[in-house]
Amino acid sequence: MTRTLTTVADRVAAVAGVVSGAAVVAMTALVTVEVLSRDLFNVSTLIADEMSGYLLVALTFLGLAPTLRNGGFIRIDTYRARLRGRARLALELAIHLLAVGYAVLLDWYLWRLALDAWRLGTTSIQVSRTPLWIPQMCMAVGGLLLVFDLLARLVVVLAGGSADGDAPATSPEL
Amino acid sequence: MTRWLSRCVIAIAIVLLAALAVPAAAQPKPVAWDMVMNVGLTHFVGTVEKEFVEDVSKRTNGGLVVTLRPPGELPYKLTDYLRAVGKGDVQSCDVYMGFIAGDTKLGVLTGLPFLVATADELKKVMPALEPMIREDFARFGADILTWYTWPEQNFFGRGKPITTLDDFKGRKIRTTSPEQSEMLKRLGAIPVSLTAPEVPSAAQRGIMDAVMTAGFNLLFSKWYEFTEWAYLPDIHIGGPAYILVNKAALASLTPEVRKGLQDAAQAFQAKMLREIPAREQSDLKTLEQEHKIKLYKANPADVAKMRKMMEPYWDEWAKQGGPKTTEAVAQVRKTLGR
Repeated sequence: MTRTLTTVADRVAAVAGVVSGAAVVAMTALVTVEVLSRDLFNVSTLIADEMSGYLLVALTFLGLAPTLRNGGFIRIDTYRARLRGRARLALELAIHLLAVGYAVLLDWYLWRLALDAWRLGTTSIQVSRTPLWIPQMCMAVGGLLLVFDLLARLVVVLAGGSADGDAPATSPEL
Repeated sequence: MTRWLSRCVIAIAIVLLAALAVPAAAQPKPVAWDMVMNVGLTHFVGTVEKEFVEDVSKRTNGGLVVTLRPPGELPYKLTDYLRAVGKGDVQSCDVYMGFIAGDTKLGVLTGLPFLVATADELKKVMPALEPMIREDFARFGADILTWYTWPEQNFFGRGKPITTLDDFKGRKIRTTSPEQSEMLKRLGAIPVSLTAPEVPSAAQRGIMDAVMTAGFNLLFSKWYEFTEWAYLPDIHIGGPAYILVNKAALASLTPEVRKGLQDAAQAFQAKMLREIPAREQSDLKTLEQEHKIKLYKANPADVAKMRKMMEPYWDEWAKQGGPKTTEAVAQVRKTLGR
């Protein structure tokens, strides 16, 4: 069961990572087009700055789950590395429960933000008048993927495994 | 003796407690509100708002204490103000119409180019518009306490001056809204989107020839450092700017406190509507005399042509907002005979 869950979490994170990477490419392309069109053709896209902001938000939030999966977040191992056996397991559980709690709270507010923008018809004040629920929904979806990934890790820890790989949580070399 | 002494102490304590309790019961606790601002405390508008909150405290006999919060002090962006006040996260705000353009069309229709040009015209149209805008803001849970206006928006630029309608062709002008972009396209200019911090360097590098703002803002932001001329057709009035309150918070005030607040708001509005247009005139003079900016008043025939160019757009824009916006634009046009 934990293996299936880990596989699903891996795949979901991989897809989110691809979308996040595409946002970087799109952002780079948009800024390049804006610079060239302004300099060479005296024309502005009028949306480069605004859309780059939305793409930055999308790549950040959709990149949360893949970054966690790949061990990309900063982690301070002062105590965790010194603990063994049940004490290590207890610490892992506490950390994951805290992380899930924080991520759920954050995502709850992100969904509320996006749904409020949708309900009230809020748009940006810039030239494009983009409906704000669209970039805000990217944040909420990214937050949801992070919650899912943290829950998958929590299940692995509860099953006695290590959230960081195949080695068990009680393994002395971790 | 000891018994007598302890009785005395108890009696004194009871008298003291009663003395403290009586004024506490007679004096209700003052209501504390926060008001998020559009500008800093040292800006002219900020100084008048400081007088306004002091007046509120005086007129309500200390029953309502409003604390001014400059932008950035509380975690709300200017574009969030209407929703933050509506939800009751903050009880009051001062917000320029441009910042709530993503939430309301009715509340910003006076920003349509060449529809409402001056503060006097705004005063004429607001009695009919205000109830419609109030109804729209009620969707969010907010109400209008009062409104005022920033000065007329005009063109300020460098390089070859714009002095007639024909001079717009091919000129790169900063835009901050779709309405401005549409106007620039119709005038033959090239709209350029830039954030405020980019403006000085963009002007110096020739990425942009002009901005649309008021002399009042040009002076305060020190953008006169790169400006050489001003073309003044009065594109649109810079208002209304709204003082909004949370509907529930307003309703929860006692009738006396509410009246004190509303009286203070009326006095604030009167002062702003008197002082801001006067300041714009004196600031334009300062720009001309101290900063050597050449001022070109637009030819009335050119203004009439620009207005004519924008007329079809007013209707297109109104249709996008639905029947209420269409009705409001028609009402404004009727009031001003446009």
